[in-house]
Amino acid sequence: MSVQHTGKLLIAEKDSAICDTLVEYFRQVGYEVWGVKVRSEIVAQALDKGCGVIILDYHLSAGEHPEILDQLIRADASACVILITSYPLIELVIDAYRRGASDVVPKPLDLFEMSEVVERAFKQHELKKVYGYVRRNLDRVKQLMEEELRERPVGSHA
Amino acid sequence: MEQRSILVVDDELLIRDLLYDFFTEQGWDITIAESGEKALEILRNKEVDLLLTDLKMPDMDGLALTDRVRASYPDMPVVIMTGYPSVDSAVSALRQKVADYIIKPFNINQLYKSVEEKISEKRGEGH
Repeated sequence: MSVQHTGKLLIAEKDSAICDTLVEYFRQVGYEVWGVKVRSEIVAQALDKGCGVIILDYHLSAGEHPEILDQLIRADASACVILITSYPLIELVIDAYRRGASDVVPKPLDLFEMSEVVERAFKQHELKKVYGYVRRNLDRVKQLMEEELRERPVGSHA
Repeated sequence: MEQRSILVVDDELLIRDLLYDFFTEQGWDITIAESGEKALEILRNKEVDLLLTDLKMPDMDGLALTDRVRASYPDMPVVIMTGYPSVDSAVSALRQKVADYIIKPFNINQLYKSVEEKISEKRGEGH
């Protein structure tokens, strides 16, 4: 019996054949999936649908517009971006992960490998969400403690 | 700023000496090891902020060492250095959440900047 997955996935790929194949495949295994083939719609779609994982064609995001990866991560710190590329160069891989990509997968794509990569990315997305939640709460506790210390009369003890 | 401490692992004496002298001059606490096994032994007795390791070493390579270190110290940032960069090893490093992947020969100031940034992030400085 095949495992059914959950999660919202965006596929940003200009090549219709690849985009449609990925959308169909990941939909079949249970994910909520959207495809986008136009660069200008990627960030808006990811935010609008609340996608935790984005598969992004490097050459749809790069060239004159390397900022799309940065925008996606800035917009949602828990989002995981998987770059796919036909031109896997070492400089590209290093640049991608310095910018915060979760993974880089060279084309031609192997659906089984992609499936593992996406599953791993969703696990990472969940961890990032928990980390963000804990971090926000710790910041809040720190803020409250600082306020209490400021308001406490000088020389008083807890 | 609290003193930074790093563990450098490289089988090349020249690189170990270069990094030891450089980081010592910066006032850092630097420990060096010539192999992965030696690094693990050091880590059992000493706490460090970051592990800076060569990728290609006999016996245990940098990624295998990263795996072993992560088992005991999951939060420790690891920076990989290599004179033999490849897409495969860079992707593997990315998947192991290595903090950075530096190609040799490196610019020492860029290496310093990267390592310093990772330690600051780990300590939550600047937040």
